[in-house]
Amino acid sequence: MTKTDFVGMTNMTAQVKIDEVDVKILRALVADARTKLKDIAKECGLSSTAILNRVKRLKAAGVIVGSVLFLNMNQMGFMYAASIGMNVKIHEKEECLSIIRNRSNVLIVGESAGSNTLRAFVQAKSLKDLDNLKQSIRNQLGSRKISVNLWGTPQFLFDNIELEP
Amino acid sequence: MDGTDLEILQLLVRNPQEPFYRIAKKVGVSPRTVQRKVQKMKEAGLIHCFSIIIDLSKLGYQGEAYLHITNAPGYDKATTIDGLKGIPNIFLITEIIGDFDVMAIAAVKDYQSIVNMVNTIKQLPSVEKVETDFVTETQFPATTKFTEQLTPEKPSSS
Repeated sequence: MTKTDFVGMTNMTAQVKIDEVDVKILRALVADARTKLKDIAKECGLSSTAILNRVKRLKAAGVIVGSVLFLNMNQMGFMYAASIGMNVKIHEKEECLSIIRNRSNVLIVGESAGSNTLRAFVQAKSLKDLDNLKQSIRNQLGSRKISVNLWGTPQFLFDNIELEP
Repeated sequence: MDGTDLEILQLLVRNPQEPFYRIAKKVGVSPRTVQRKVQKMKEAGLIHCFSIIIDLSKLGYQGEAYLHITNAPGYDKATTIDGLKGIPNIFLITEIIGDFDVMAIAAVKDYQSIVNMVNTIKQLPSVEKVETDFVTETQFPATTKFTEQLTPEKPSSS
């Protein structure tokens, strides 16, 4: 089977075969990573050991790569979350990535194909902090175009993801 | 939030699946206290959820699409958000103040699935324009990098 690859995506990762039970396990853990194995086992009609072995297999196969705690960052004092889109020259991309990656307040930064070359997800305690971050990125990148888009309260719809055996 | 809460939170950010009895030992309280405090932080909305990170490239996905949506005049953002909720593989939606009105992030399998998704969104009456950025990130719903960057500090207000 051949698939259309995107620009920059030359090698497709080998797909891992999963079945209905694996899908149930993944869904349960995405919804709550602290779900007890015995609860998943009950839902699947299997033993806790069987579920544990499957979780181990999913980890070994690189399907499950970690876990994450989503905090309400507003309550942590970070009142602003924003996407920053940056247009940089292609030969400066790597350098820009490494500069931005190490800044505090920058949670995610990566390459993008579309209207921006790079995009970052950042958080700040005040608009002033956000502006400072933007200005300092601009100083690093020169006069390249930077767009800042402020987030409202995001809605998570993790159940929307299609996981198929 | 007291000092113990913060310590628990910091441990949970580092390892969201760490058993409560181990956290209890580290911070010097009983496992029940840890459980009660975590429950309180959930109820207060400070802890949104614990999730695992899946590498979707292993399951046939090639990346994520950032969908930047401009609303048609006369419609509010909520109408667009409601319309987006029913579209498979869109896993985050937020209002935006800036160059556009609503942003959605979706996991995408291939080129055709982006095209189909954008067409579906464009058919929503409240949507005027959709701009798409594609990233090759396939870790869902967040990246392991995101977890490393997140360090809860004591809020200055309390």
